[in-house]
Amino acid sequence: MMRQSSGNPLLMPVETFLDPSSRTNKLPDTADVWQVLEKFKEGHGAVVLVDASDRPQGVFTPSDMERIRRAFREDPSRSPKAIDLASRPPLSVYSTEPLEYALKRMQDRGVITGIAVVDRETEKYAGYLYKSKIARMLGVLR
Amino acid sequence: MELIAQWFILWSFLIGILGSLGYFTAVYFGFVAFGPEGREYILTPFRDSKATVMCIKVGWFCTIGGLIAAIFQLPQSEFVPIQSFVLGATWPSIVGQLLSGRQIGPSRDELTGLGLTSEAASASERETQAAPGEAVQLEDELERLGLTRHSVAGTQRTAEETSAEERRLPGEDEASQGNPPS
Repeated sequence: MMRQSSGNPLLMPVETFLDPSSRTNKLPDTADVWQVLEKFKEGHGAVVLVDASDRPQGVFTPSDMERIRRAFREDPSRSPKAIDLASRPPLSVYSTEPLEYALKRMQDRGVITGIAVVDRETEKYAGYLYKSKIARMLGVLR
Repeated sequence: MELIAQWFILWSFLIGILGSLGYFTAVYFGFVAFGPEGREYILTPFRDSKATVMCIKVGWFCTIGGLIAAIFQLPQSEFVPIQSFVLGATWPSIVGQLLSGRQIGPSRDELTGLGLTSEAASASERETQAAPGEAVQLEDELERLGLTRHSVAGTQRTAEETSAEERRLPGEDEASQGNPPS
């Protein structure tokens, strides 16, 4: 009754905004670039590579496709292993961290797509938080 | 009754104080069903460093209750003692609701400071929406370079077989052809 929270969404944990279906954007770190491209074709805005313990090891965003293009133009015989071309280490945040912290991390790294979310207790991949989705929820994007 | 009518505001103030004191008393003696943890949660701000409830803080709490009751009485022509008592007892939640009700969400400046502008959000959404098309284009381009999933897998297998042959000992080759090793 007396000490009510302000209800500021920026102070709420990231897991509040996480869509569980965003976890389907992951691939094992042994995947090749064609599997990554398939994920993008399915409509995912980012693809996260995880190890055998389901911990994020690398990430691809749409802007990384240019890097894949350049890499194969320069050396068509290069290995197609996705982990060699992924952004590493992936930008991530714990599921219990406040949204404000996640946004700040994205801003500091100049990331426009989103950020990977990791479960605090198990350290396993919990999903991907898209910046556009946060913007819609906060009324920045209509 | 005339005396009460002339001094509405003062009486509201005093009744509001009584309301706050009544609420505090109910919490202090555990009459209000918050449980031991809830009771401590509420009483903590009233305690000093030695965990003793401070009268001055209780007085401060009650005074605010009285003032808020008086403020609500101001625009009213009729004296409403029940309202004053209830306001005195519940003023923290009323003030809290008023404040949080105004705070609909983070301000635009706050969001801009965190890089969440409409332009940035639109750019992010455009990038996500363009991803499937770009993936198809990249696949086509890799195919034009002669690179498909199967062709690369085949090239890799050939490279592995060549390495395995080079690693084989000369004797093994001769033996496989039926010639005794030298």
